[in-house]
Amino acid sequence: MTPMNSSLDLDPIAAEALRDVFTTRFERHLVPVSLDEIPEAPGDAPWLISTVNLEGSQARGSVHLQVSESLMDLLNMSLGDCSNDPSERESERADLAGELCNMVAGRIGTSLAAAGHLFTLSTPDVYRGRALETGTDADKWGSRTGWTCAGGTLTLKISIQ
Amino acid sequence: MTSCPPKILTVDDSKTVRRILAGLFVPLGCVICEAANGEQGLAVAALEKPDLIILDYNMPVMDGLTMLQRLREDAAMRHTPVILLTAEAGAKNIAAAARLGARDYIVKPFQDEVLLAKVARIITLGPRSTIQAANEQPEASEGPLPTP
Repeated sequence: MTPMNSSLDLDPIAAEALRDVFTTRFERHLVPVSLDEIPEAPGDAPWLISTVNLEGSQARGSVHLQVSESLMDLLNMSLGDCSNDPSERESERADLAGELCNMVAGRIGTSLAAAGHLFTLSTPDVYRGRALETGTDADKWGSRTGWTCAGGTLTLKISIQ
Repeated sequence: MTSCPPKILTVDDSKTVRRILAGLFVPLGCVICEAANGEQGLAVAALEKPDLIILDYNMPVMDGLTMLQRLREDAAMRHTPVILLTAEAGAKNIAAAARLGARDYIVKPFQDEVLLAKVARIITLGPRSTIQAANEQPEASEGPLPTP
């Protein structure tokens, strides 16, 4: 097992997980962007932010996925009929954001397990809010990457303490 | 002679995943019933007696492995085939699913064709799936689980 103080570059793991999920499920391609190009809020609406916690025997962490409502609407439409009811649509957006984070976190968990770090994943939590903050000094390993997809932007953040 | 359409129970806390599965199997002549966690899944399974259960691993209230264990303890449902859906491809999860008698597993995000091929090994689907199942090979990293 790799010792916890070894270096682990999470950026390529994050990129592979995100690309895998978006290509396999939605046949959409992601393009990396500078985090400076991602606004505090996407237009008038807040970001949808979903979180999956990682629990391991030697470390714990979290995976956060920040997406816009418009991108969730676009991806939802590609899955088939969407509800016309506004509250139901809001629920569909949040559910999709949570499931995306669940799939991405699953892929990240698999990559971390291959590197010798085993984590159990929580079910996703979704909330609406301002842009994700940068990592803290408490992070042993961290990654924060920005992406565009079909005109929308998203941010993936991984923190492991 | 007519036969009953195959009935699939999808158990996943994500409505998005249940939508994807319904969109995949309803056009193939399947009847879909749904549950959002293992506890609901057991109740729906007892009522609907599905031909196949597609079961998420990580869910609130009752997770997929616990539901699978309960199914195997129930004389009326212990032989119902189960395909486990999991976001984590860890050997530990897969071994646990095999121990409890899951017929197969598939890792999210899954390719529709791969899932169709796996389901078509268990129940008879409509013509579209027959063509796809014949043409598609499952991913090398995924395969049927050994019979317990």
